[in-house]
Amino acid sequence: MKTVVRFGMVLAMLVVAACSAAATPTPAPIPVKIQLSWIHEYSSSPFYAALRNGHFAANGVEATLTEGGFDDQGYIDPVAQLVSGNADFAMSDGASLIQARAAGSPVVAIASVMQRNPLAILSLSETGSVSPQDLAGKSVSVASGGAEVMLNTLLQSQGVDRSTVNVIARTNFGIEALVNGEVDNLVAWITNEGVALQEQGLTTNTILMSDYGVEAYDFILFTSEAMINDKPDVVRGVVHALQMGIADVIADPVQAVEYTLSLDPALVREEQFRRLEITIPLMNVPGKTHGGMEATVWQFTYDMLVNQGILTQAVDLDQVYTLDFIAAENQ
Amino acid sequence: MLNIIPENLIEGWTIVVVDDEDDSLMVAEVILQAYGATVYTGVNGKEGFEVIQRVKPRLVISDLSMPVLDGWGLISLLKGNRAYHDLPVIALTAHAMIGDRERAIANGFHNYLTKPLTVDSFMGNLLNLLLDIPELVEFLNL
Amino acid sequence: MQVTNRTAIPFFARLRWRLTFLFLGIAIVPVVIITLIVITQIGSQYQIQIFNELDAISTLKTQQVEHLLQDGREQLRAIAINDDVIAGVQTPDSVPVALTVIQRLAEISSNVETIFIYTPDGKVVLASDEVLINRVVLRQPYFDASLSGEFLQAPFFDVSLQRLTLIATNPIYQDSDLIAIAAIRYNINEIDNILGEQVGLGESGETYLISQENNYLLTKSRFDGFPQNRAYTSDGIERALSAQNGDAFYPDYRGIPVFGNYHWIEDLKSGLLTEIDQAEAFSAITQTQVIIIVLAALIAISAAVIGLVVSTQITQPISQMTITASAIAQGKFDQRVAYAQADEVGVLATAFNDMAQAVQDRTSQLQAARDEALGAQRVARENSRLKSEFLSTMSHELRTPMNAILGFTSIMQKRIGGVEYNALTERYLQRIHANSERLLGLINDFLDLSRVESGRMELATMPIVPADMALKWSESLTVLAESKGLALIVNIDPALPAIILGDEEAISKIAINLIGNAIKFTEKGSVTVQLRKQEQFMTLAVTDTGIGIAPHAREYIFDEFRQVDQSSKRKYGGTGLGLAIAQKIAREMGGTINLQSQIDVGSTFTLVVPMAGTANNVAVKESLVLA
Repeated sequence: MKTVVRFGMVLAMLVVAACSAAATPTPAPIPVKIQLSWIHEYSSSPFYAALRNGHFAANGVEATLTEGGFDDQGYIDPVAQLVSGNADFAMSDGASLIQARAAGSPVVAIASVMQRNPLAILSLSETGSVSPQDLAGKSVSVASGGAEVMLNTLLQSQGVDRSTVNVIARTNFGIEALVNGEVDNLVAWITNEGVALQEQGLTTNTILMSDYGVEAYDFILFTSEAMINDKPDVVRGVVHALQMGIADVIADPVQAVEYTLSLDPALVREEQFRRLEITIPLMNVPGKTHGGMEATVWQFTYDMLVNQGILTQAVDLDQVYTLDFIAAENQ
Repeated sequence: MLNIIPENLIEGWTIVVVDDEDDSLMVAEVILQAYGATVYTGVNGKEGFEVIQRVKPRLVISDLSMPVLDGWGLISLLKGNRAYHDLPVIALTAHAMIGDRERAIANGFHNYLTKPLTVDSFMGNLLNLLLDIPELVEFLNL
Repeated sequence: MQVTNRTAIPFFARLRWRLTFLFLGIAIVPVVIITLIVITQIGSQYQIQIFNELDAISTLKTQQVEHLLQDGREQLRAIAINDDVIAGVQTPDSVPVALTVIQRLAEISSNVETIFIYTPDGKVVLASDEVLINRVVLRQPYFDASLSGEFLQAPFFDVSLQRLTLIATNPIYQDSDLIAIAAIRYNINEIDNILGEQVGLGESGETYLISQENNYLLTKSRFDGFPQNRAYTSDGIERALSAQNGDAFYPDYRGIPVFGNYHWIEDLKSGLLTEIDQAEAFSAITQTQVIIIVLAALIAISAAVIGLVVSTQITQPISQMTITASAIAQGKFDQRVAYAQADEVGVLATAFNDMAQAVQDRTSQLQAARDEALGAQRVARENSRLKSEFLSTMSHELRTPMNAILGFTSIMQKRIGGVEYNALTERYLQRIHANSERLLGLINDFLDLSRVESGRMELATMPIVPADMALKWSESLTVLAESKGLALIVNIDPALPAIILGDEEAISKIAINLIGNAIKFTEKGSVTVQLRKQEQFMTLAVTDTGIGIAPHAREYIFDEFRQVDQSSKRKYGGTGLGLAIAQKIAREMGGTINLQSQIDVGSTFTLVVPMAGTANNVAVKESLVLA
């Protein structure tokens, strides 16, 4: 009797193996390295959600997320990481990508996590500015680079004479200068410094760049031309996984924060949550696809760089980004 | 039963007869004496025992119901006494119930004769009984 | 089946429980049926009512919201055709007037928070809130749709305001050219207030809007721990968001079962849900249902109690009677049943008591009779004993003088003892002797009869040799026969066993009586005695050649004191006891005496006795006769 049972089991196993072999052979997931633009925090939670909720795996990708920020050599440049081959995908902002492209790096933007730009001019309620016009005669602390470009563009488009504004270079990432009253206005992210000010119990005025038509994608997923040409399915898979990750974060911010904390337990849950709460409306704009991009925004960004004299040579904007991999969603 | 009983059948025998009725005593005495025996009498068991002790008879014939000491008492006296244990005693009584004979024999009487008796019946029956007693047979003058 | 032990009755067979269950059944079954019907009826009615109420609330609130929206739309329409506004859009100088108009309009309407006008390229040129002026609304969700016609943007989270916003737009035309778009931001608090109204929703009911776009709550949840900016789902929510209207039972976004009314509000691209916890909704009806059930239970209990009481009333006296009957059976005759009520059971109890009394009386009667009988028995036994004693004494007393008479006469006849005899003495002695013999015979007869009559004849069962016994008879009676010139013949059948069991004395007595009679009543001829074996009996046939016995005489010949006729008594003597005694003795032995006779030919008397003695007590067939 025993031999019969054992034989039967072996037979059954063979049948199962044969069946699974006869079915579509599931290929092993392709490993990809994704270089994040900053340290592990709320802003990358769509990636964490995509990873933890199995969206990468479902799209045939085995993703490794690499933290950005600073190493002993300085700021970890996502573009450099990608170009050097240390990463297959990376995160950056629109302006940087256009400039990288101009510099000859074969980078292509494939998705944008945020649909609207989080940059704003923050000031304390009592002394601050509610509109760009109020900036005349006030001091504004702004970091060099993209932030400054956007500030200049704002002032220009709103007809504010830049010379009347005391533009101060922002050297640290904190809010003390504003809080202490050293500056009247601070150009910063509403998702970060804006929340930090609220956490201090301060009421603030917010002049959102995006409210004044100064728009740029600031949290973009990009990859190399080679990747797009050689492994378009992998690219599509990564973009789709990201899109699903964004949807997951919108649906369950609490879970997203938990995922974030699992990557850096030193983070403070409440802080991450508040920041994520402010971030979500930027990711979730009615009528706009999660992770999607619009040509008008790219165009504006390009024009901004050109007008401000940052971009000195022409770049074919169609090469900078592609909408091909973004999946349509029913909104 | 012998048609003719020899007149000296019990010649020389000493026999004690015990009965509280004088007439019965006399009848028995006369008959036995007529056949050669020497008869001594007692009117009750106690007197009878004394006579037996005095004359040492070969045979005792005793009534059963007597005053002072009755036949049953006498037989037990005799049977309890080693000297007279084997002395044949015949009961002679007017009681005639079934079982009396067996009772008498059980108590030690050799046998049992019923009254009333005639000469012939008495001697005839007596002879039959005596024939049954080995130690007396030799003394019968037949 | 005898059930005398009350506890031996199986539990459920007991009358008491059967009655109780019957009562319960009769009472309970309809109660249960009615209760179930009522409860389900109430239940379903109530459910319908609840859903109706929810629907009413939902409808009311929807209308209120629609009213609010409509109000805004009308404002917009008014603005869109307002000359001052149009002028303000086109001419910078007209701006202050336009602004005043807009501001006043915004102030008047409580539903409207802000009014702003923007150009087709997205720049805000007029606004009731100054800060909006110069803003660019290109990237706002409503922008694209607002260009083509009246549009209401489903509530969305305004990033800079950091709250939900509800915007409606209306294009402004000048000569069919789109010159601007008017927009209002609704006072979304109003919607919150409308939906937040909890009248009619008890403690757990709520109305809320949920966004189709991301399943976020557009109005606050009534309950702690459910912030708006999160995706929520439930059956009701999903149905509402797929544009269905209706109501159902389902677990809500908290997972708690609710009555739910779901409604799709097209304008707001949201679902309006009106829900109340089932637990709360049902509690009221549950209370009613519980009351009904409790009442039903009370009825059941009452029925059970009444049933128990009544059945106990019926069965208790029965049990009483059982106990009393047992007691009476055990001898306590004075036990009675106490039962007061005058019903059938009372009648039974009374009858029972009467019977018990009768038993008691009868028993005491019997007792008395028994005592009497015992006494009589004792007396009888005493009498019997006395009789025995008397017989014994009589026997002894009669024999003793007979001994003297016979003894002396025989002595004298034998001429012993030395008496003088002559012929006369001889003759007189002979007479004395003969009469003494006769007297002795009478005494023996009398004693025998007495013994047989009183059953005191003890018969022995001893071995008998029939040949020897028959020899004795012939020895005794040959002389008598020869004296009459008769032959006495004795025949023994070889088939007869050599030894039989019985009482020789008794058989001999009968035989001698029969043979003696035969000789007595025969003048000439012979007397033949034949012993034979017949089955398990020995037959002794005495045949004579005498005068015979007439048929009529055969009947009473065995009676006591009778002879064939009185004359024969004188001729033949005798008291007539002989045959009677003989027959009695024969019967006592388990046998009998039969008679055959022919006049002038002769008679045959046949004694039949068992060969095994009287111990077997075998009944004898009367017809067993040897000719």
